[in-house]
Order: sequence, then C-alpha cells, then structure tokens
Amino acid sequence: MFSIEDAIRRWKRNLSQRQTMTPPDIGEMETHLREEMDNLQAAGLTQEESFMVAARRIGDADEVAAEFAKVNAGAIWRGRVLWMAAGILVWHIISAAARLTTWSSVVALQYGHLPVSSFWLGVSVPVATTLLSVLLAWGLYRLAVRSSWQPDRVTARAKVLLALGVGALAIVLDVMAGLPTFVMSRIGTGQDLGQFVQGTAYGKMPIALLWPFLLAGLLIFLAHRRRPQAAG
Amino acid sequence: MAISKDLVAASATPLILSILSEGESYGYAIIKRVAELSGGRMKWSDGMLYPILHRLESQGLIESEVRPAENGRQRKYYRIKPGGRKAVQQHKDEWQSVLSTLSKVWETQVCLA
Repeated sequence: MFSIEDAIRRWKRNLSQRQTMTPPDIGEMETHLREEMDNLQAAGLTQEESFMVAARRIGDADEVAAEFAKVNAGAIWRGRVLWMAAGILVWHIISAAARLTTWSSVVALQYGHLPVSSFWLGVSVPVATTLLSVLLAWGLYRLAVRSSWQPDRVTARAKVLLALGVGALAIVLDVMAGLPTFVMSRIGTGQDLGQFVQGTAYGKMPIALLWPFLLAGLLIFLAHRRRPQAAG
Repeated sequence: MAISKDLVAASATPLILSILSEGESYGYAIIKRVAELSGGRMKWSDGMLYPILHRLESQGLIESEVRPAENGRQRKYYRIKPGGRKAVQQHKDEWQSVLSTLSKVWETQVCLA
C-alpha cells in the first residue's frame, strides 16, 4: 500500500543523509515537491504517479546535494565542529561519571565490606557505568530524533541554555569524581590511601581500554551507513 | 531543440535575476516561468534552482522571506535588491555583446555564401 507521507519522508531523509542541506533547505524543496504534485494531480495523475514525476523533476539527490555543498560550505563546517564539540563534551561527561562511580565504590568497598574483590569491583563498575551512559546518551538522541524535535525550530536562547547546562553538568561531575580522592587523602590512614590507589588503578584500566573499542565500533558503524541506498 | 547543458548553466543566474526583477517570486513559480519563457527548451532539474537562489542571496543580490502562501504552505519568497538590478544590467550588456558578435560573424558568412 503506497503512503504518500511515508514516500515524502523517505525522500526527505534521502536528501538529509547527504548532509549538505539544512532542514530549511529541505523544507523549501518539499514545498516545491508538493506544489508540483498538486499540479500533476490536477492534470489527472494519481498521487503515486505525481510523486514519482515530481521527485524525478527535482533531480538526482547527489547532484543537488553537491550544488548545495558549494553554497552551504560554511554551515556544513559549523555543523561538523558542533558535533565534534558535542562528542568531546559527552565523552568528558561519561568518563567523569565512570570515575565518580568507580572511585566512590572503591571507598565504599574499603569501609563497607562488600562481597567482591577490589579487582572485580574496579573492572565492573567503570565498564557498567560507561556502557549504561552510552546507551542513555544514544536513547536520548533517538528520542529527540523520533519526536518532532527540530533543531531549526529551537530558539537561540534555548540552545545557549542547553550548552551551558551540559557544560555545567560536565564540570559538576568532574569535581564530584575528584571528591573520593580528596576525602581519602584527608581522612584515610597511609594504608587506606594505598588500598584506595590500588583500587582506582584497577578502575583506570578498563576506562582506558573501553574508549578506543567504543570509538572504533562507532567508526565502523558509521562507515557502513555512509552511503545509504535509499529509495528516491 | 534543447539547449546544451553548458549554456543552460551559464544563463541560469541572469535568467533568475531577470525573472525576479519582474517582481517577487518563489522557487516553483520561477521554474514555471523559465519553462514558459523558453518554450520548454531550457531543461533544468528543478532542485538546481535552490542552490543558485541561496548563493545569490548570500551575495546580497536578492533577499528572501518565508510566509504562508494562499494554499496554507510555508513558502520562501525571493525579492531582488538594488545590487541585483545592477547585476542584471551587467549580464544584459555581456550577453548582448556576445549575441552581437555572433550575429556579425554569421551575417558575414551568409553574405559570402
């Protein structure tokens, strides 16, 4: 069963995947497509036929995208830098969160007699925190994409507030992650401190190992999605 | 007879600016106007119009405004600016001198034939 709205959504996604057109650019072309379809239907074509003819007249997505790339060069680079900065910030937040949970659990183990060894605690807590945070970040991103959230409709004020909020979260988490070390160095005996350093050393290993693998996995995933075979 | 791709590309900018100097317009209407003026001989893929419009806008030759059309859709209307009118005049001079050069050489050849 042909659904015109699905077809238009696929057509728009095909254009946006070229990453050279802004959402307003695509919106303008969508209006064009719909007006052409109206005219073709008035001339006797079915909805499906009118979509195929109108999409064909707008032209090959690659060619159009290449022309837009020349005009939007500045905006495309701004977008790339934005995503890079967002990625670094997210990485900072997640690694601070992993340090916070690991360092705190090492302290808890020392004073609370948990039924695990400091080695297994040091390995499992940072891995679990990192994976859960990555899943959470991915989930939030998917939620934003699925809902009608559109970056171009968000006001500049809201964007600045969002950036400041995320930045503040990164700083707060970083400071909190340093607290267990600070507390141990103030109140712990020499032996306590030695145990703590050993426990945190176990925790540093998986954090250092996990990131290269996560990022390599992400690169492979993106490389496969680079050239989508989307139906026009 | 369709006009060659190179010539279509070269004439796109003066054509769009000249159409806009007739009055405010939007993408779909500009495409229709080109087809009407050329009798369908200038074949564009419609999507190519928009990068050109956006470039002219960033060059300050035209300006745009998004507002709802009579059919309720959000349309982006383009209007020519004084710089654009000057550019039209310049294009006109260039094309007319090309045309007169070609005409002269062709006339000579007709006389010789």
